[in-house]
Amino acid sequence: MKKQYLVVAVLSTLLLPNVCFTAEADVSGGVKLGARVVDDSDESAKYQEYRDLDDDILGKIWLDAFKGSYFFGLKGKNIGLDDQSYKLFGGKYGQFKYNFEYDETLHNYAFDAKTPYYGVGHDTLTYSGAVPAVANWTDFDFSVERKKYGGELEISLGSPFYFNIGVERQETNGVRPLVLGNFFPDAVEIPEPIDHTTDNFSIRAGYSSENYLVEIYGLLSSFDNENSYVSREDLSGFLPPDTMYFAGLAPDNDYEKLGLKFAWKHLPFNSALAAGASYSTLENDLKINPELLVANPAYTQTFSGDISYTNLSTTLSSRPAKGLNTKFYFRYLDKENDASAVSTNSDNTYEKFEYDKTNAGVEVGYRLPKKTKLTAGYDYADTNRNDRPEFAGTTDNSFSVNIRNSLLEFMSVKLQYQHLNRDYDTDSADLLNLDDPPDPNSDISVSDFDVNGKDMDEVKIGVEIYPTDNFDLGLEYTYTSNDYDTPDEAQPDGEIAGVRAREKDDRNAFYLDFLWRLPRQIRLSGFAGYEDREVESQIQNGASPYTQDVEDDFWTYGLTGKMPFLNNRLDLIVDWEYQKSDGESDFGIDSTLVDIGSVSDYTLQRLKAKVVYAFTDQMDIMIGYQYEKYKYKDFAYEGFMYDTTSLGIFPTLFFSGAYADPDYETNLGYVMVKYTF
Amino acid sequence: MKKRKSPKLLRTLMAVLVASALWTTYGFFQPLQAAAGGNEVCNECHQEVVEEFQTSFHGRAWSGMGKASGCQSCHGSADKHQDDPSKETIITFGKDSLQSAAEQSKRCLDCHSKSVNLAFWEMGEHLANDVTCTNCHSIHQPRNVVRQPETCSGCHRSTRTQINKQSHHPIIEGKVKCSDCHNPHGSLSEGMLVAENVNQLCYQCHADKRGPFIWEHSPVEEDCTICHDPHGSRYDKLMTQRIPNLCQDCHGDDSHHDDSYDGTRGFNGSSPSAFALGRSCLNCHSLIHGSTYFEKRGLTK
Repeated sequence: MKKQYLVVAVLSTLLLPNVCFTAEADVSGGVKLGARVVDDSDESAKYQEYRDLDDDILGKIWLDAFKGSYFFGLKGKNIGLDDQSYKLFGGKYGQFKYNFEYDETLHNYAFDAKTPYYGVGHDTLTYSGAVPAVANWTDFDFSVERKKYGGELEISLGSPFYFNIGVERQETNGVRPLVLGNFFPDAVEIPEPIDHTTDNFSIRAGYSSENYLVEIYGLLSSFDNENSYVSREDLSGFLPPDTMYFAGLAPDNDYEKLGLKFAWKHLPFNSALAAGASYSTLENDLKINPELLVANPAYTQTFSGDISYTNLSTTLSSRPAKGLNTKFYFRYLDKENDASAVSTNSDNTYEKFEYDKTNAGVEVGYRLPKKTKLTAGYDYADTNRNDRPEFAGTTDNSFSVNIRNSLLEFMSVKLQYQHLNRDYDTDSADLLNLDDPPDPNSDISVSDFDVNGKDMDEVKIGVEIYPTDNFDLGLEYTYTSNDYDTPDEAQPDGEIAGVRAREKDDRNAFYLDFLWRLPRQIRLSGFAGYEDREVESQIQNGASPYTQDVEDDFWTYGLTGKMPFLNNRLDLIVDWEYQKSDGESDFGIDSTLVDIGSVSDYTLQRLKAKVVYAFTDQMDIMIGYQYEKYKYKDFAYEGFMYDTTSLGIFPTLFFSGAYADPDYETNLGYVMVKYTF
Repeated sequence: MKKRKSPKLLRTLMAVLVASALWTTYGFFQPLQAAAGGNEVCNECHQEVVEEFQTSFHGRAWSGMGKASGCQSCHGSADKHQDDPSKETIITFGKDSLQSAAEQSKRCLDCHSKSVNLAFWEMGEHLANDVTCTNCHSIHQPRNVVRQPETCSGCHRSTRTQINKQSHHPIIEGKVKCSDCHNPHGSLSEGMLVAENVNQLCYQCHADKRGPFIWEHSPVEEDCTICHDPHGSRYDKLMTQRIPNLCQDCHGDDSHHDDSYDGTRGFNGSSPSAFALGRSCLNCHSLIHGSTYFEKRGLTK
């Protein structure tokens, strides 16, 4: 792909100057150049999860050029850093347009993680001699970098017909955490080698006018993983030396999609009809036993994956009378799995998951007097699945009503209520076929919360207040309650002795924000939010059932102020944000079980301050400071240790340190000079 | 394993794109057409606004094509407004407008209804909720770029809160935009997604999760949002619940699945458990998205 980089470089350096200095061209743009210093003594990957925030030179460029109906532009951000991005675009209005893009995205999981193995980044992890002590483990970083580049061209030549082609390649490289276990005797958190490439080619062609749209589109996408498996040497010492464990990794695949879109507008009753259909296939061929594959490269048993998706959707939207609007919609999805059967032992009954979903609904809105609008809706969804015989079918019926009023010039109010009822069907025959009698080790007697019968109620209230031209205030409150079927309700036929899982969850969410434009162009804005959630479960646990309530509280608030000085030559901008998350898990007052006080607890504070001084209309200097502090506490990592041998647990766990200590407190300063033209 | 190289298709397209760039360059050397007028009347009172508009994308595009880049194209005839310069005599936009949201949007659609991107505007939630074009687009500004996620957050307050939580997609870092997943101009999908459904959307970036796997996890195959909140979460990896609680919401039935992982099961507890420490269930069931191993083995390998 170096040729593509070369093309972009040539275009940038040769073509742009030509364009910019052409007579009568209207050119504007700018460049920012500066430097940054960072005090990050914790060296936490969490701080740099998606950002390259080391001491560095900073650069940004942008340019827009116009001449007549031609346009040309360039953008570059974080130049030279590991999260840099560039875009080059141009075209002629109404005729054609194109763009090239290059983008790098980081995902840092953990710095200074540890592993007892050699071969970080490779598919085989081993050690030599005796099992190394933690003090002798190797340090490395869990980090993945994604590079995405490609381009797109659309041509219409001033006609209703258009043609669009796009191409893109995504390359993802690095290592991320994966636990490779074996039930017994050990499980080890290892660096999974990531070396993925995805090539996408898309094409669209169609006709678009005021009244019609007809489009045919297609996508070819190919995913390639350089590592089909990862293996590691036994660490427990219980098994013979050189014993290797294997895990299959993300399989290669080829995805193809062909679709059609259609819209017909300006029909009677101010109606518009739209429809879409697509058919896609996802296929692969892979060798299914990495252990045998390594021992015998000629191993031939393969799996042929073959999944297809069929999507249909249509919507009719109308405004048949003044103040009345209606919408009818229908959607259908069918996922079929025609993968080849796998020859395996009797404990691994091969199951292929398939499902289809039909969704239809109607919305009717009517404008009442006093600037009031009433909207009511009904939504129906029916889903049929195999491989989940206890919930082979679910039927959702949902009703909603929404009323909005903006009679008062300084305020608008919105109130919404929604009720959803979900029923489900059990496929008794499939249940018996799958396990006769039901296997106590299967999952068939559980009230799976995602498909279990339930009643959901949700109330939303929103208020927008703007008492003066320079002050806006928004308030929003939502209450959501899910009440799941209990076993007696869920298994009325007594076919299986259902046990409970999640029984109920309630959520409250409250949000507020405001914007206040003070005299002399001072702006003050702020927000606040509060969320709480309680999830109640009852779990069978053999003859010792217990209840568990997981409660979360989340607060956030922030303020942003912008103050100009010296006749707007100097701007001071300050931004402050605070978050606090507090969770706990309770087992009931009468239980002998011990409550958990730290469930993903964290606090996050961010302060950003900058001063911008404009020397001239074209040139300014920005001096900024940023402070961030993050503290995380979770029961599962309190008292963390890399090697759990001393705990006497099975399997013995060997951790890498990923996610164990994400805390950080950082200071960042920067200076940037901007020149615009 | 396939040999990794640039497909011919990709190279061909790159050549086409370069040709397009050259075509644009050629265009810059062509003589300029005379721009038509249309703003003279407005300029008498609104000179500053008119001048600003002429630097906008609309102003440049219209004048470049030789069309009248007139204020009256959007604001309607100024005849009455000249005699009575009030809001009642001209079309205005924004929350103080006397025109309805649909009427305001219609002014834009008079030209843009041919746009492919707006073909499903009538089907979208924004029109139904009286959101107009100017709620998001600043027509007069020199750079009419909708700032994401700031613009969307102005109304979607809960989403604004989610995307700032400790576990989030790189949205606030500028690497993922709202419009990468949602089409604000309307689509035929639930939630105005740019793909047919949730999973087919997620697979566009997470191609390693799309399989086909030999051993599948049914909820994973049906809907990613059963376990993940794509906008952000207080739990790691965008989870909707902490693990093991999320897993036990379905698997609280037998063996170690329904065990009580209480406060005694931590590193410092009186009864530590391998199923509660660190990543809990995922310490063993790490291939929860699907496995290509010979045996199912609880999606552990």
